Amino acid sequence: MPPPGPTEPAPRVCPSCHAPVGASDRFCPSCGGPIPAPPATAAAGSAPVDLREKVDQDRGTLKRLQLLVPGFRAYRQGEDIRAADSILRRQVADKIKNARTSAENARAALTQSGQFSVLMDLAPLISDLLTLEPKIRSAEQGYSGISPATRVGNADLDRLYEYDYGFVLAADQLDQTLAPLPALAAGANAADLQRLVASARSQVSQLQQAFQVRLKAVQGILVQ
Amino acid sequence: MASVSTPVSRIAAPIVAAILFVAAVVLMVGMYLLLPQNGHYLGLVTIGILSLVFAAISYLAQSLSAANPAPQRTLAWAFYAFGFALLLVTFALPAPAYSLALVWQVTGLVLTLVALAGSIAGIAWRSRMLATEPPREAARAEWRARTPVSAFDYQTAHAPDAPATAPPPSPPSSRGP
Repeated sequence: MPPPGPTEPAPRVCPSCHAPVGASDRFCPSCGGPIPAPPATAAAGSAPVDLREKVDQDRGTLKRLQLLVPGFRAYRQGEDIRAADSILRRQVADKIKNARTSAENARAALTQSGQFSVLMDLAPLISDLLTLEPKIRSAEQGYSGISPATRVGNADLDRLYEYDYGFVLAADQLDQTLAPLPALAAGANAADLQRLVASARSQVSQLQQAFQVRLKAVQGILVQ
Repeated sequence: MASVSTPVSRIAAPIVAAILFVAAVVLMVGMYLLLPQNGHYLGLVTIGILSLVFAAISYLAQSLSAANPAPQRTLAWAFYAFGFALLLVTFALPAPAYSLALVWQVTGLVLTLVALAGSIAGIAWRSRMLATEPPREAARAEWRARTPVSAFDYQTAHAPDAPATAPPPSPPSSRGP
């Protein structure tokens, strides 16, 4: 089985009933559930930011010295990729935090306007975002020990960085999805608000699914 | 490609190499000239060891210079070859009667051979490691040339059996009080 990777877009399916949906559908034709907005193509056309290159170029004399020691070079390079990945994930976590702030602002607006019923929908979304943010911020860095069953090499770490880069774009999209939430909460249309919250929850769920298997996915050992 | 800082300027490679070369020549020639005639044999051994030390210093001094520190690397190879050649020849050829006992000469030869084997193993290890880097660099360059993909497009984001992390949203209900 080929490893699930970031290169092949999956067909769009309903997050509730998993029925196939069209590219422009906003609601599922089978169950009527809300369909998350299609992935943002905001970054399409612009090349990705390679923080690994920046970390490599900013190596000091001590790190360059370590690169010259036989047997230490691969360790140093691996640590530098992990550092770049850590910088990247912190930024993703910050974007998730921004999305949560939008949800919390909406909660405040809903409370003020007395729309308590929608709070029941918003609470699990805020809870999911609260769970996801630290998971991304302090995720596994790809250490595999002295004699592991499956070794995480530097090529795997490179793929891990590239996999995690997809979460930057996804977090931006989630942020965009939730941005109109406070304004909607101040209005009176509870149905729109619930659709938006459901859509955002579906997106968060997808991010959680993709993130929790990241190491297995890049190592090619994920069984689905 | 996003903005990337220019490499930090470091000491120019030819200057580092020249300093090391001059220091080594002064030390070695000075030592040979200052030693009495019956100390020349030990002087050769010392110069051989000193050459290997300078080989290590020149090799590590690559870290002081920018992208391609070829002068230090060349100098390191020169010291390395000179040091081992001098030590092997000095220990292998018959020594003058006043210099070293045979047992020390053989010990010196064995230690030199062990050091040579160790250094060759290190060179082989490093060469193997360097050989793995071009494919990785090519893969990185290929990724940089591609349009980034959102995590929502990953197959792993659409696993049908993955459990939901929270209960589904409640159905629309009437407004609160």
